[in-house]
Amino acid sequence: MNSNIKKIFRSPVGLLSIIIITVYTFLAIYGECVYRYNQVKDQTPGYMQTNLDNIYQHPSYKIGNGFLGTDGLGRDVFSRIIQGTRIAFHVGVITSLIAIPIGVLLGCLGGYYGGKTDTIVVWLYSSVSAMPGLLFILAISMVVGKGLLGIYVGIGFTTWVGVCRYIRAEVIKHKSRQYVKAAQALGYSNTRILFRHILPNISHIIIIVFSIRFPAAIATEVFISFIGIGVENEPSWGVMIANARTRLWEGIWWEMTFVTIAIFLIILAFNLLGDLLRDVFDPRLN
Amino acid sequence: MFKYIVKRVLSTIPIIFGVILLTFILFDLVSGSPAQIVLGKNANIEDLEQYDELNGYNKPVLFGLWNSTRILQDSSFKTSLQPFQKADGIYLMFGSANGYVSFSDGEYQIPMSLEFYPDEKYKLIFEYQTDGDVKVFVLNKINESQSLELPATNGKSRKVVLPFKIDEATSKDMFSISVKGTGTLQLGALSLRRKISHPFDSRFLQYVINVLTFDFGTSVVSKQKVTDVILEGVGPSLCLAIPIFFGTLFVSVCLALVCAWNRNRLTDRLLVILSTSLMSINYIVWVVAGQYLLAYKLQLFPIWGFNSAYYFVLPVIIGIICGLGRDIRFYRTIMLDEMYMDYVRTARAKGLPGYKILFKHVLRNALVPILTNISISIPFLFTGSLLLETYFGIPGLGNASINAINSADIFVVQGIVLVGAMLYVLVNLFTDVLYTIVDPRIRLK
Repeated sequence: MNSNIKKIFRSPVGLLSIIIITVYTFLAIYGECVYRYNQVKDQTPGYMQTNLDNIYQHPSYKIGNGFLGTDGLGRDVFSRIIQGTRIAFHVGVITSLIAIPIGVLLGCLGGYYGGKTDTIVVWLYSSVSAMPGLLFILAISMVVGKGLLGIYVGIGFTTWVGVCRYIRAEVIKHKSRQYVKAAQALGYSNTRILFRHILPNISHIIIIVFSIRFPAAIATEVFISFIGIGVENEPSWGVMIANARTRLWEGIWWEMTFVTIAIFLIILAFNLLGDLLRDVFDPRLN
Repeated sequence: MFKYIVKRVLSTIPIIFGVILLTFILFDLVSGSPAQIVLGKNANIEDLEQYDELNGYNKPVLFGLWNSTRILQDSSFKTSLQPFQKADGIYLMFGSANGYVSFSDGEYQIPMSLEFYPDEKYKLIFEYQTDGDVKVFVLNKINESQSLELPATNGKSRKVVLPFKIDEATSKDMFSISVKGTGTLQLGALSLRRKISHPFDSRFLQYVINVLTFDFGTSVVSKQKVTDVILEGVGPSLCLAIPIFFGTLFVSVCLALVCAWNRNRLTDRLLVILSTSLMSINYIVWVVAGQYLLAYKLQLFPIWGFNSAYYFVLPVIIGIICGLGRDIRFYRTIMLDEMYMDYVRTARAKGLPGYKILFKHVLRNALVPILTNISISIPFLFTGSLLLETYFGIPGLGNASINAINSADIFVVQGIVLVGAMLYVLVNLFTDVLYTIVDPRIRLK
């Protein structure tokens, strides 16, 4: 495990993507702090305040207000992008916290116990995966209600399928391994074998799965917010692009460009890291 | 083989059932009362009940013989006197655990919101206790033989059921509680149940029947039948989706072959980097940038509309570019898997030229996983592209679903989701059966 992590840090691509992800994480934490601070103080945060004297400022070198320009209501694009990062990380983390436990639990149970349990697990994930992906997520968000909660529920309760499949296949592979047989011979209980012996051995899958579904969740959130069903009244990346889209035609290029770059970098970093993790932990896949 | 096909066909039944169950849970249970959605928040109770009766929404959810009804909503008197707000001489009291309503000497109407349905069976359930010397009757004014005396309980809580049958005549005010004596009646809970003709005659059964007969209801907004909405949308969706599908397939398989041919050389590396970058750019960015640069700035294509084939060019290009990154990587992995097989080494050892190995051996063997990938994407051709159709004004199913979601038109969304899911199941079944005919190894597994 340790040597694998070293491998990732030694490869330039891995190091670069980890640096990008770390920077974004800190930006997200900073954004969260700003958001909480304004909430506690009960004031409109700077990134939401309209300042009509200051609209459509070009990006400039001076750090501070207007570093990446301002938008049509005079709001600083840079601090809005940071808030977008905060929302994106919320979505990535919370949907993972919904999807990964469900997927891991069902995958472990189905894979290890087989028989009827497995039939039910397979039935469940086959039914969910038959649903037309994005449309089903949108339908769930519509029913649950506009806003972040709908996005969390919609993405969380549909994307566990991939996790479940992956984990189930891996557990089935491990079930016939020597160490499991040994544990069974020692008379350990099934739950102990499953969660204390098999699960630690397949924990790298969880990391890989996380690195794959995190950018997917972010992209979905951007999409949902863009078409106006997701986040409202908060500077999500999707909302920013939707706003910048109309202004782009008037030649206001910076908001659109910088948001695009922000989304591109974080998703690229996660995609690269995901590939690398797969190469390192699971060489058979390549 | 026939046995396998039958088995495979039967195995789709639970999945179709699962799809129906999931959509039922989502659209029928979580989304709230359909009558309220269709008729609006301020609809009166008669209309709501009429709608429910007509569409079978006042049946039990899964199964059951008795179901609650709008005629009298369950009351436990925890916070309000409802339905006794307007009566005189009744007081809401708060006991140790629950609230209750206290009745002293007199006669009190049980106010029903609606009339009972004729020729139906109902039951009224009282949870009460009495204090002191008191005689309590529940009077049925139309059919007096169905009145009941509630026995005195002297401070202990008790549950009594009054079953009754409505013949012809029905009235809102047909029940009253009559209290005689010095003590009080303390009513803890009151509920009314309606008998269902068959225990499985439920909303779910109704839903399954509706789905299997392709009756998805009518659109809340346009009052059009959902099946018509879907049939109208399929055409434009396919016009857009099919060129994108074949374009992406052709370009990505070609580029994947180039990668496999030059594996680990500069071309391959560059293509992998390119496809990873393509994957990382969001769909919406392509749409916005494509519309702005190609259609608006350079005026190469029309921006928006559905008039001639020319209007499809830009969305098709964008659709192909968007799918390219993922597909190149996928097909490249498949090709490389094949490149390391023994038969490729044998072919090389025989001295076959590279292009022959690539096209005659590798591509043919890679065809099975490629076909699987194709079969997975076929159902999505029908539901169309949500984004492209919306932002290029193509009146397909993707456009229809986005509009429906924006206006909370639940039946249209439900219909499109169901049709998409059913298509997925059926196309999967079809390809699996095809495989068994083509490749005997699969049915032996």
